[in-house]
Amino acid sequence: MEWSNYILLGFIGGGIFFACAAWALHWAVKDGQFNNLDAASTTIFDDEEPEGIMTDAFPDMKRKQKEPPRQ
Amino acid sequence: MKEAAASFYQSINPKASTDIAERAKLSEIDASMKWPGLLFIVSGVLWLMAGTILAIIASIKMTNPDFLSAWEWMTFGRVRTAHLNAMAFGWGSNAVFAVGLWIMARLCRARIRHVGILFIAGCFWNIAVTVGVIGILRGDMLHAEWLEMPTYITPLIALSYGMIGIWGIIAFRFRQTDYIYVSQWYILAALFWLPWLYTIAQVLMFFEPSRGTVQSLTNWWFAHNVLGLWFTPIAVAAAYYFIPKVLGVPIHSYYLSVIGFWSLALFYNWAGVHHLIGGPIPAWLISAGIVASVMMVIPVVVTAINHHMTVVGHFKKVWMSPTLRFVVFGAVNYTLVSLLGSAMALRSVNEVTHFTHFTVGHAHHGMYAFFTMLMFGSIYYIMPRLLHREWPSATLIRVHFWTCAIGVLIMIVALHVGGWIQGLQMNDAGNYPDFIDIVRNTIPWLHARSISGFLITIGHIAFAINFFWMTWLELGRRDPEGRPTLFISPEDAR
Repeated sequence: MEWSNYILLGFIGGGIFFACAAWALHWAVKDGQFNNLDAASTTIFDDEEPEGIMTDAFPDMKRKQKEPPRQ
Repeated sequence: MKEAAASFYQSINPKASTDIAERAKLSEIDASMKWPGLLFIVSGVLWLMAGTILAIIASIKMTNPDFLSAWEWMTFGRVRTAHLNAMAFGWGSNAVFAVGLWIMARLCRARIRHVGILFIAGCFWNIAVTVGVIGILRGDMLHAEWLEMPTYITPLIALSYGMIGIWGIIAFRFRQTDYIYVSQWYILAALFWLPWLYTIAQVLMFFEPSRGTVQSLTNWWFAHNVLGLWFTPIAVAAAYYFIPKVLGVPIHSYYLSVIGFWSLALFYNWAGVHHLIGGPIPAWLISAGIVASVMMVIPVVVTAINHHMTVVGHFKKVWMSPTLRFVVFGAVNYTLVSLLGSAMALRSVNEVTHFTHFTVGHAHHGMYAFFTMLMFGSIYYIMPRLLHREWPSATLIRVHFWTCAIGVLIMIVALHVGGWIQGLQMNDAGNYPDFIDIVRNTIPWLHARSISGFLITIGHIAFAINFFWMTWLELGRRDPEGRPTLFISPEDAR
């Protein structure tokens, strides 16, 4: 194939790719995904693992932190 | 038969399904991912060890060319290529499947469906990569970087990937949440991007080979994008999930995370051409690649602000958490490696760094200090939830972190400094007329690289011991209440 044909194919492929991305962005706006960004940022928390709770730590370091400060 | 087909169709289509109203509990989701997740992580760790051995052999050969040179399958070209493929498609992609699908299912609040098919597809993926790596070692390797596995394995790779990735997309369609979290955007996009990249590259490189330099363009379009549109999105998604999740605080700015995702989607695809600066392709294509590489500063900076500002004020917690140590180390290195990468795309800088060890150091900075460390952190969080069992040894986790962190930093510094000096000398034919002198001058830096490799190997052995101890020997401490959150209970954390 000639260079020009590759460029043409590239533009067609790229166009389809870009159209898919544009459609995804359009869908996200229409679906209200960007209406309340604060709510979206807290979707990782829920009743089972609520906000404000640390969910991973070395056991010995946690114990150290709990010890009362020396007088 | 028809009924079975109809019922299968219902089980994968939320519009036809009757069981979609239930919002799955986190423990149910963890349970659904247990066996496929274990398969991917166990396979990943085995590939990590195999890739590490190949890496050490290749590294020693750089300073001692006679080392294991009696066998043709142990020659540098084959061993180094087998190392790359074992790490990228063995370790990296298995980790991506486990971490990506687990995070996707949790954020969708939908269990992974048909885990049996997922498990079998995972077995086929690993069989394919095994055959591919053995093919490389026995001399069947192909000429394209990151696509060296022989073509007889391509259909199995493609088919098994399709049967793995599809379950992440189906989980997304069954989601039971109002909002899509930014990690879901990244994972969903990556699940679509890889098959696009792999198919186009395979066709244009091998099945309907393009002519001349178009092959080079396709090669670097694939090789760079497999980093930026496959490994990077999953690792960034993991950072966006684990940093706020472990700390228990929302991400600094969700608005910035949205900008970060869409700007990465827009610019990264073009950037790979910077590998061909100075090459025989149209100058405008290279310029477009350079512009896109510099534009990548936008998603990198907004992601950096988000990750680092979320951590500010919580540094003690970072050191308290095995997961966050690795994840934050990875996130910091994402910022550094990406900004360095943008600078390396500039013609004036590239003139020095191209064809030197600087590029090798940059690749390890991205694939190891950023991606691999983030995957380690993710696995430290996921495994206790899959097995309902704590990691047996906190000491081994610390050994793993420090040896790998120090090791990779030594490697990055050695290869960057050594590579820069090498580049300056190669551009100075007046003072360095003999190429062999420049090669000799790199030897101290290559020794440093081998030392860093040994440190990293110690870390990987510590990780593997802890991992298999936890997985198979059942010596870890079981949580008496069987809660999915281990190492620390929610009550302790208040």
